[in-house]
Amino acid sequence: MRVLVIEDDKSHAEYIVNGLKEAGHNPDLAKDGMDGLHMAMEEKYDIIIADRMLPKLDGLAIIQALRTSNNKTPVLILSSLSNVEERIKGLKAGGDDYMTKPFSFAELLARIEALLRRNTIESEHTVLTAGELEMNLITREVKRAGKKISLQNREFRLLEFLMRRPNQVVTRTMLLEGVWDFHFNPATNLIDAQMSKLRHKVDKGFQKNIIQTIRGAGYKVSVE
Amino acid sequence: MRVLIYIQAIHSTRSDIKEIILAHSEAIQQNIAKNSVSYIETNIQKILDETHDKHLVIAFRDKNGDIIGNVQEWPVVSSKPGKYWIDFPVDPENYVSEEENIDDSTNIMANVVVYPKGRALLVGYDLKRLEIMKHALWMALVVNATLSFLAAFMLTFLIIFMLNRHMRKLNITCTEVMQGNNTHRVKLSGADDEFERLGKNLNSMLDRNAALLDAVKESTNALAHDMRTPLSRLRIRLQGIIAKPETPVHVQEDLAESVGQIDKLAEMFQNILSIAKAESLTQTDIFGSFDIVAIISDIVDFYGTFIEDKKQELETNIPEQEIIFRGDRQLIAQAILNLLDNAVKYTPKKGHITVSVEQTDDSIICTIADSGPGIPEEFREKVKERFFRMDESRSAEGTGLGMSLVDAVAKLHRGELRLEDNNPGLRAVFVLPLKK
Repeated sequence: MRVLVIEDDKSHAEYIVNGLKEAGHNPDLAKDGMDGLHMAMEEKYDIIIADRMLPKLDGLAIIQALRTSNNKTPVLILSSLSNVEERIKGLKAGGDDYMTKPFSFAELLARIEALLRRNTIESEHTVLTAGELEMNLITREVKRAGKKISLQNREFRLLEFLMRRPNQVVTRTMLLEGVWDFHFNPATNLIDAQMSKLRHKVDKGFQKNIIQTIRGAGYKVSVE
Repeated sequence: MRVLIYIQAIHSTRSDIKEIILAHSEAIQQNIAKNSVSYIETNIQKILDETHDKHLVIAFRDKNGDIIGNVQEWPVVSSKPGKYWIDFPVDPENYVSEEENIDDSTNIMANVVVYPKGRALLVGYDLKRLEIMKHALWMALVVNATLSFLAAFMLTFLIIFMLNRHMRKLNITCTEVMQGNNTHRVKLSGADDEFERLGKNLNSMLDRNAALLDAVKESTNALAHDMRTPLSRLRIRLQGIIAKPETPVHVQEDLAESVGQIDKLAEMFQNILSIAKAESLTQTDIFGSFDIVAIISDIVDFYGTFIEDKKQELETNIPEQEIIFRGDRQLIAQAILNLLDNAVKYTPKKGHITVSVEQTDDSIICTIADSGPGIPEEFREKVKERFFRMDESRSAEGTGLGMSLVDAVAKLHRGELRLEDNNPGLRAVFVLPLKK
C-alpha cells in the first residue's frame, strides 16, 4: 500500500518508514507540513500518517485542508499530546485514528491495517462466522462445530470484536478502546488474562486455533 | 409612644368630663341650697335645655324614690349622705337622649350627691362620646401603626431585593466560572457604587485566572511534548536494535525489558498529566452525559477474570436502570477502575469484595469495599497525595498515583472520596453530586 508519512523528527521518520517497508508497504516521507500537504494533494495515497506538531503547517491543519478539498484518504494522527480534548479535536478535524508517542510499531501497523481494510463487518448481520465458529448476536449463543460454548459477557464482547475483523491483527489497546471504550491504560495484562480464558474456551480440543496470538502485537481471528 | 399618647388622651378626656360634671353639679347644688329641693324638680328640664350639651345627664331622686330627669335608672350607690363617683350602664329605654341613634345601652359616668332622707342629685355624662372617641383614637393608632409597619416592611424588602439582585449577579458569575465557563464575566452597569467596584474587581480576578489557566494548559502541552519526544526516540532506538538480526537473543530480551520500563514511564507520565488536568478544572468544557451505572457494571465485568483467578467473592448491589450523569466519562471510568483495581490487588485469595451503587436525592454513591489489609487511619488522607506510598522502601508495583487520581476526579466533579474502615479491609466511598 502507498503510505505517506509526514514527520519532522528524524529518528521517528526513519523508524516508521523502515518498519513500513519491512511490512511490505510503499512509504513516502515528507519532513514538514507544507511538503506533506503538497504530496498528499498531488499523489494518491492509501493512507497518511501525520505527526500533530509539524513545522510550517501542523497535522490538524493538513487534515482540514484535505477534507475541505474532498480528499478522503484515511489519516492516522501521531501525537505526543494524549489528552482526550486533543483526541477529539483530531477526530473532529477529519482524522480517522489517533495514536500517542511513545508507541509500538506493532500497534501502528495494526491500526494502519484496520484503516486500510475497513472491512469491519457491519451491524446488520445477526450472525457472525469464522470457519466453524458461529456467533448469533440475537440469542447471544456461540457454537463451534455445532457444539455450544458458554461465554461470560466480557468474553462474548471480546470475541465479537475479533470476529468482526477477521484475519486482522487487533492490539490490546484496540480492544480496550473498541470493546470497553477505555481511552486510558489499565493493566493490559488483564486483557491477556481474559483472552487466555477465551482462547481456551474456543480452541481447546480442536485441531485448529481460530483465535491466534500475534507476538508483540495482539490477537486475531483467523479464517481461511 | 403612641400608646402613651393614647392613654393620655383617654385619661385627659375623662378628667375633662369629670370637670364638666362637677361644674354643673356644683351649680345645681348651690341652686338647691339657695332655693330648695323643689326648685330642681321644676327646673330640671330648663337646666338641661340651657346646657346645650347632648351628653349631659341630670336626674333627681326625691324621698319617694321617684326620678325626674333625662335618665330613669339609678345607679347603685350608698344611701349615706355624701358625694360619689360612679360609672353605670343605662338601658336605651331609660335614657332620654337627644342623640339620634342610641340603640345600644351606654355607660354614664356620674357624680351623685346623696342628701338626707334619700334624696339625691345625679349629674353625669354619656360615655358614648368617650367610647366613640376612644374607638376613633384606637383606630387611628392601629392604622398608623399598621401603615408604618407596612412601610418599614416594604422598605426592608426593597433593600433586600436590591441587595439580592446585586449579589445574584456576582454569584451567577462565580458559579458559571466554577463550572468551567471561564469566559463569563460580571455585567457592569456603569454605576458608581461599591457593587460596581466589586464587579470590576471580580472581573479582573477572573481575567487573571483565565490567563493562568491558559498558561497552565500551554505549558502542560509543551511539557507533554518535550517529555514524550525523547522517550519515544529512546523506545524507537531500542526497538531498532531488537529488530536487527545480528542482535543476540539474550540482548533482545534485555532490551525488550527496557522497552517495558519505558512504557511504564510513559504510563506514569500519562497519569500525572491526567491528575494535573483534573485538578486544574479545565476539563469541564468536555463534560458529557452518560450512564454511570453502565460504566461501573463494565468495569466490574472487566475485572471479572482477575476476581475469578483469585477466587475472590464478589458481591454487587448495582441498580438495573441507568443513571445519567454529567461529567468526564474517561476520568470517572479511570477512577472507578483504580478503586476496583486496588480492591482486587490487595484483597487476598478467597477474600470478599463488594461493589454497590446507590442513588440519593442529590448524589450517586459508589462504594467499593474489600476484606484486605485496609489503610490505617493515619494514612487515609495521605494516601490521596501524589506518589505517596505506605511502604517506605517504595518497592511494590505501582506508582502511588492511583488514589490521587481518584481524589482529583472526585473533586473535579464536586464530589469526594472517603476512605473508611471496612472492619476488616478498606471501604472506598466515591460520592458524586448529581446536578439539579
